[in-house]
Amino acid sequence: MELLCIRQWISGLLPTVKKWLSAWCIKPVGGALVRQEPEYILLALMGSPLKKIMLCSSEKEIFSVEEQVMVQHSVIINNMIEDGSYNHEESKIPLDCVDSKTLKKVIDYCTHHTHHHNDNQEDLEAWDAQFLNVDSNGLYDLLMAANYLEIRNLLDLIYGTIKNMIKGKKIDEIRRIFNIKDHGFTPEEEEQNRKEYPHFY
Amino acid sequence: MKHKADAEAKVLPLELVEKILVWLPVKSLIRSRCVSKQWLSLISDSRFAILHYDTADAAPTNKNTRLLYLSSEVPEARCVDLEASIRGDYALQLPLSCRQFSLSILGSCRGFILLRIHVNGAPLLLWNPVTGSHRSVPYPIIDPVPSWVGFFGSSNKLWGGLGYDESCDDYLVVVGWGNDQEWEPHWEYFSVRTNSWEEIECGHLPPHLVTIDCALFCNGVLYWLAVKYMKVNVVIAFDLAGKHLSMVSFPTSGGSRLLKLFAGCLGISYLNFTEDQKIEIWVMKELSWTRLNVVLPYAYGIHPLCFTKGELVGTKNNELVKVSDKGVSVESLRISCHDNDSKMVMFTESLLSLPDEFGGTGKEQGK
Repeated sequence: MELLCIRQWISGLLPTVKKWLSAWCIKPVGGALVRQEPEYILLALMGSPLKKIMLCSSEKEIFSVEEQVMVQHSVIINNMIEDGSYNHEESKIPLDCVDSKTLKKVIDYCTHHTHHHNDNQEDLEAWDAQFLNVDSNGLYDLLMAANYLEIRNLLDLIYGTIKNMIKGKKIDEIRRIFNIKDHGFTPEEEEQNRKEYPHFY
Repeated sequence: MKHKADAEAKVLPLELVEKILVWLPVKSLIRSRCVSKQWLSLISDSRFAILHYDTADAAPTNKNTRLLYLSSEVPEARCVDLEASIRGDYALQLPLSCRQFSLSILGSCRGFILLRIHVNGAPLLLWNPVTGSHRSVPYPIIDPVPSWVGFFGSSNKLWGGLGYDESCDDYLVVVGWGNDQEWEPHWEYFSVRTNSWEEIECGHLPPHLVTIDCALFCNGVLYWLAVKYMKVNVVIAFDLAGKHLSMVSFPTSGGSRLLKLFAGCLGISYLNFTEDQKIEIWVMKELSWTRLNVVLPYAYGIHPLCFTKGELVGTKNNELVKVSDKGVSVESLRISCHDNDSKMVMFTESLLSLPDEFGGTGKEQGK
């Protein structure tokens, strides 16, 4: 009977031991290298790690991020965790349409807004403006990622920014911003448009 | 490690372009039709027009609201964005068929204006000034023909309004005529979907009540100021879903009154001829009147049109003026329009088209 108790006690300890071991090691997970954030190791030692999830970019780079942060912002990730299709111990969420650079930025945005949501409006807006200070390719990538992950506030921020970028601009400028190389109008139609809206051209 | 996507141009999928365009003001959208053929077909789609209108309307203030007035100098309509600088006004082309006639505005709703042409036999006109599309609405046939036939088209007491019935996605044109001393008023409404007129029961209203002004459409109800024996008496309301006329009492008595929309609610402004000479504005929220804390010196002689961001915009003689909440004039604009409600109206620009209407962009329909 005592043996049974000891066995139970050991098997009870095993998950924690496993965690400690994995915290210290950098071990291969699914063919990629898992990056461990320093605070995770510390908290793992303290026995109550912040729940983390792992996101995998299209370049197969893995990012570990607080589950709470992503769940608050991304409807897609929230749904995955809620319906149980994500397993903390083993799986990572593959995001094949998002490259590493963009994924890092998206995680930055979500993390900042979760940790600083009590900041005043002006500070948040200033941070947002700085955050979106990227070239149009970067903006495009962010928009596609935010759309894919369904991050409402980031989407609204980007829509608003692009809307302001095109307001009052001439048509060539708008075509350039949206990378429209072939507008599809015949020369006669272009001429007609030019006559109707001379100030736009 | 760069992918081949870099070499190709990164083009946003149309569904995301739509989500950006939905936030643009109408004027920018009209121009943006020239950007590409794809954008042209997106913006011209009636589904997009509805999405755009609903998005703008859901905001605390509809950014596409404008003042439209009929110029008395040239045959054109002019549009002013009262929230921005009132000096940035622009012209809109009137439909070809009515440019040479005297016109008045009976009402507006969701980007459409109801025009009355002051010529015998001319029909009413439903017009979207932004897209240019319009549709004629012939007056109802009255049987037996009354003694005052030939009445339509002249400037006898005819009033009207344009409203939208959400329950069946239909636009209703309401017309009433009468004389507050002789014959009793007669009311009818026209449904754009069924293309026919129906009479409106009005026997329960006090006798000899006729309306003045353009109608105001707000939350599914049309409102008019009504007079009896030349005195402004009560507000008449027509509920579009129930097709029912009723009366709304004023919040308080005194002074001369104007009916306007303030922040999407029905409002009454009182020009009080007391010592203080103040303008008071009351708005109706959930069937009861509350006074807005705006009281301006009436000495400025302004007839209020709209109250936005703490500033009051109104007309004063031949001028449009914008006044701060301290009563200081911020901006003014000379307008070639007599200070008469039938020549000006607050309307919301939209790309909408009427039900069963085809090819709405700039094409003339009916003559």
